[in-house]
Amino acid sequence: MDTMSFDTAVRLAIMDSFVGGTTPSVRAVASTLGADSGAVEAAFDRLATGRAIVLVPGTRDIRMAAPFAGGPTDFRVQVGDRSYHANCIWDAVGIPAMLAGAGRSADARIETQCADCSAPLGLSVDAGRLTTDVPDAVAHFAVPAARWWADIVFT
Amino acid sequence: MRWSEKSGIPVGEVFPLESLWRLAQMWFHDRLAPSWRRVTMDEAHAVFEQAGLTGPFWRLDG
Repeated sequence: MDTMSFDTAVRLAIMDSFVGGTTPSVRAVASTLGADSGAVEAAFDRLATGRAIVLVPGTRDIRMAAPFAGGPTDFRVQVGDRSYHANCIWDAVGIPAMLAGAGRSADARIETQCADCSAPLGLSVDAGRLTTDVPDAVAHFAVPAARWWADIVFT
Repeated sequence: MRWSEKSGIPVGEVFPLESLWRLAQMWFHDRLAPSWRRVTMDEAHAVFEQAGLTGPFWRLDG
């Protein structure tokens, strides 16, 4: 398998693990693929360089594999009996959008809070439509597109 | 906006949830496909425009 194909296999194993509800480690991906851990470590590094994933600095722990977050966040997404964390509201609605794009069940419930007033804010994706519990809710991005990757965790 | 006053972070862009949903659908629909790759800057700009998100805020080369 060439490097590009191997990196694709690693990326898909990462995404499949997240879809299954688990943040994957190098060891878990290596086990899934029957691959050498060192090779998977190198693939994690290349995927991070290519911005397909974001690693916790100094580690190979996955901080982000958009739309998934590697740990708890204020953007919780429930799809069936699976619960996910997203990095931001774009990623939160991106989880059902991604699942629908793959032909999977995508009805979702998103729980977050209003950044302005801290009130709980719920959104639902039902049969391909996004609705909110608050009729006049709007989306907000603070960081201009050109600076998103200057600090992607803040963005 | 109160959060902006409290945090000192300037207000960026506020836009309808319909645009957010269109953006997410176009951005993430193929993320589980083996053929997925990062979009180019031009492709990203086209996605933003199709979602109704235009102006300097949405320029990656700004």
